[in-house]
Amino acid sequence: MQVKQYSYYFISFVTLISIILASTNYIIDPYSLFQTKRVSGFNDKKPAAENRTKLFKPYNVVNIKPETIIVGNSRPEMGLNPLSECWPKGMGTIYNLTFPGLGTYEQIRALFHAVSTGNVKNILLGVDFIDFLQSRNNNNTIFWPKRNNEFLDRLLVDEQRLSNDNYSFAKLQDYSSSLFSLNALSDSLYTLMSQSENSTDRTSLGFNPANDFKEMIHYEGSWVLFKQKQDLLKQIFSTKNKSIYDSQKWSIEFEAIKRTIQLAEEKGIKITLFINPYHYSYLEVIRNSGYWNEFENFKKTLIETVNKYGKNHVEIWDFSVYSNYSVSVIPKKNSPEPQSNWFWEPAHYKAELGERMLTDIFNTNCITEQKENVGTKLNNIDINSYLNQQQKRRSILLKKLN
Amino acid sequence: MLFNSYIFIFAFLPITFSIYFILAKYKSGEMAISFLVIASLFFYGWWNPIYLALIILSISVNYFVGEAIVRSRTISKNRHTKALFISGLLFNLGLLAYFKYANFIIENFNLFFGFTSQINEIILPLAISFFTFQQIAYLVDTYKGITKEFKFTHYVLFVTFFPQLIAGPIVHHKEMLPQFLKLDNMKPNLDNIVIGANIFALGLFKKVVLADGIAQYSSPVFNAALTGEPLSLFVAWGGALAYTFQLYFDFSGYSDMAIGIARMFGIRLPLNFFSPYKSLSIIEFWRRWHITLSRFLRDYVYFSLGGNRRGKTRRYINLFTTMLLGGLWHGAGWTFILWGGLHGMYLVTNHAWHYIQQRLKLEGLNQLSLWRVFSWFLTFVSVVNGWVFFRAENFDAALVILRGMYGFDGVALPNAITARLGGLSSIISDLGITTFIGGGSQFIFTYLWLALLMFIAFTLPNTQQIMDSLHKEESEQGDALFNQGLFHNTLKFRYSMGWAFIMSGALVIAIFGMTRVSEFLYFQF
Repeated sequence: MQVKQYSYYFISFVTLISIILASTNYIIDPYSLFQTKRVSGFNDKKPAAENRTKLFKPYNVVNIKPETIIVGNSRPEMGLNPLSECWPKGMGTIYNLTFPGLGTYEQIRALFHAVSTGNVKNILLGVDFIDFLQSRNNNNTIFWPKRNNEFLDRLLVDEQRLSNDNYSFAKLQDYSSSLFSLNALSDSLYTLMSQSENSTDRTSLGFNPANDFKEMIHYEGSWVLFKQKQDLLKQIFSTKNKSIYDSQKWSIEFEAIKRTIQLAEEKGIKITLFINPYHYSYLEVIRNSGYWNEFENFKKTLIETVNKYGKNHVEIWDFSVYSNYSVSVIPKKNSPEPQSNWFWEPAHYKAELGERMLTDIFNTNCITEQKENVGTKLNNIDINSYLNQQQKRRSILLKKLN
Repeated sequence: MLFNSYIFIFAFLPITFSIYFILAKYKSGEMAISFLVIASLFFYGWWNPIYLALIILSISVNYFVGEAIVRSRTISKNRHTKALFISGLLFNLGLLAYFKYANFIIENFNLFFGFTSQINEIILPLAISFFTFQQIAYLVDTYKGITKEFKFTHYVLFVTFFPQLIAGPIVHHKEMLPQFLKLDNMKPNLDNIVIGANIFALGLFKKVVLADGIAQYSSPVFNAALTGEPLSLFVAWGGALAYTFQLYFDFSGYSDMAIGIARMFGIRLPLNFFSPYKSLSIIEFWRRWHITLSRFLRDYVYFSLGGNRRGKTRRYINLFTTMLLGGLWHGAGWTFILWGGLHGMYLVTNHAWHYIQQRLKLEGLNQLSLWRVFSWFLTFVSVVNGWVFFRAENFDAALVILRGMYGFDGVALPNAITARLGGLSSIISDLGITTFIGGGSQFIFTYLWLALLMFIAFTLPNTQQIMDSLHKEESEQGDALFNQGLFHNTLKFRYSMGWAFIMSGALVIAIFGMTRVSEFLYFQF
């Protein structure tokens, strides 16, 4: 073969291979970005989407235009299933717009983004004490700052809810890199090879079925998950001098909640603000590290914020309590696997508990057996007496456990 | 501008290539060379235009000193010539000392004498070690009458020719200039373009797919070592080996890309890597690793110190000193000096062993397969140990890794793996192997990647061997394990549909590899 002929082949193959590889990425759609049809046993499970929620969820929510969104971090992501039967009728399409590891500011920016699509009528907003803790010495001058990062570029609106100029370019970049990249290609192959029942997944509605946890528990036991998280929690809460407020008795996180409530009032959107449930071992870490008062102050400030800015459209629920759900045996190495645990590990609750939370909030009757409430609605409640009751409940339940 | 960037591949390279040959054809060769100089300076200035001033100053001074040396030689004023040469040398070393070593020198001066002197942080100009060494070599060659240059643009092109400017190969004036001026090279040649593009594709694949692919498994281990966290045996070896292959595929890939791009312009750059990890001795390793630097150190440092002309002891001292300086050339830090010193010791030991072998008439050992495998293993492990110092942020971090590699901090496997081994897990436990929680998939992928890269680096032919039917370069390598590489007859490049498919596939996958889909590793918190 002559060099001329070789170069024709070379150029033709470059073009052909590029097209084939990009088409493969589009069809398999490893990050659920293009929302190509999910085919069971082929591309139904999306294991590679696990670390790409910040990539695909902002675009998915624009395409799906849900009426109801769940906002928060990884806890509601694996706790609240949009396809659960415990949702009341009339909620429309429900999308789980939660982001593992994302702080409150960015979660709320994602909420603004979803609302800007024009369809959202209901929001379930899960908040976490740990996301509100910051250095006591912080001295914020602006409580609603303008921030720039890759994730925020993917949102339709900026912090003032005005059109985001970077959106189109970010979208072009994300879509092209998900077609023409080796990451996407290796993730496509990974997707093809990971279609077993317990493969890691994010559903088309953004829910995390926690299949990776199931797999770990199957082989290693749930003690591994509990131990890993307990060690981490102890490390995090060992840092002293943290507070939910900065030196000006306010914070970016509370400002984010305030702005969300104001948005709901302005648009007539119903918001259910809830504090995520924790396993009692998590609550004990908070208590033992000296942050219990701060934890109670967190709840009080949330109620005050709701009462001040959102009387009409906002409900507030507390699920972070000692209850028969949260107080259960901590799994130990070489011990039998505990029965009926409502938690994967101290910080993440199972979707079964999420369903019971939904029946609390919406008073639906999807659970046939008689059930104890998971949490308490805090609107119009005497907060101090409620917190005292909690202390008593703790004593009783821990005594029973031991 | 990096070779593995879109701006380089889709804009800079095709534009520069086209204009260069158009100017050569329709204007003049000199104009084409001037354009290539401007393009190369633009390429360099893309990072930080401020350092253009530095490189231009360095080039100008060296050019004029070189020219003065040539003129001085012709009127045979020996003392004057020497003074010119020494002043040129001092200028280059001074520049290097200030930009690369000033912070290091002052830091250590303060440490030893308890002073608190400080200077503003000096940012290391890109490629200063490369262009300075290249110009020192030019001055030495000019002083010795081996080469001379009277045309400024030619000299600038010799230093700044963009394929080799940033990371070598380090070239000699006498091997480059005749190529630039050759009329045939001023016309685009389809053979050169295709062969160059294919060598570039292989290099890009090595850098983007292989080196960047394994990089994610070395950094976490070295970062953990920096915090003092004890590392178990397999984790420490995983990190050290990952870096060993990352560095090789990164640097040799970059060299391949440089050689490929230059070939597209009709220029042949010297070989820089030749399967170094197949070496059966450290002496052989340095004939195969960063060959042009070894050549420079041998010709301009080792020989200047006296080489092997003054007896064995002096030869060993010269060898050790050369490697120590070679270590320092790589970076201003004690870990680099230590790395150089370690290789100096390796080389001295290797030469001493050769001497003993000769005296005891044990050369026959070198033919035994088992001995060859042992020699290869010892060489490779010694090199890996050296890379630990080369990569670690400081001496303590290097020691943490080495402690782990030699089992001082235990032997452990991820719980996720042992839990899936069924009955084997109790045997593992009886052997004293403990388990740790988390990091299971990281562990598995580290060793899967390593298995692939070891197979490639230890057994397959290298770029030069694959391409040698159409791109033959002189090489002085000796014996090695799988010297020719397995499948060496099959893996010989020729113009065929099969090779067009392989090479275009490598290019497309490498270009795809240049884009990363943003990822957020969160580990469920």
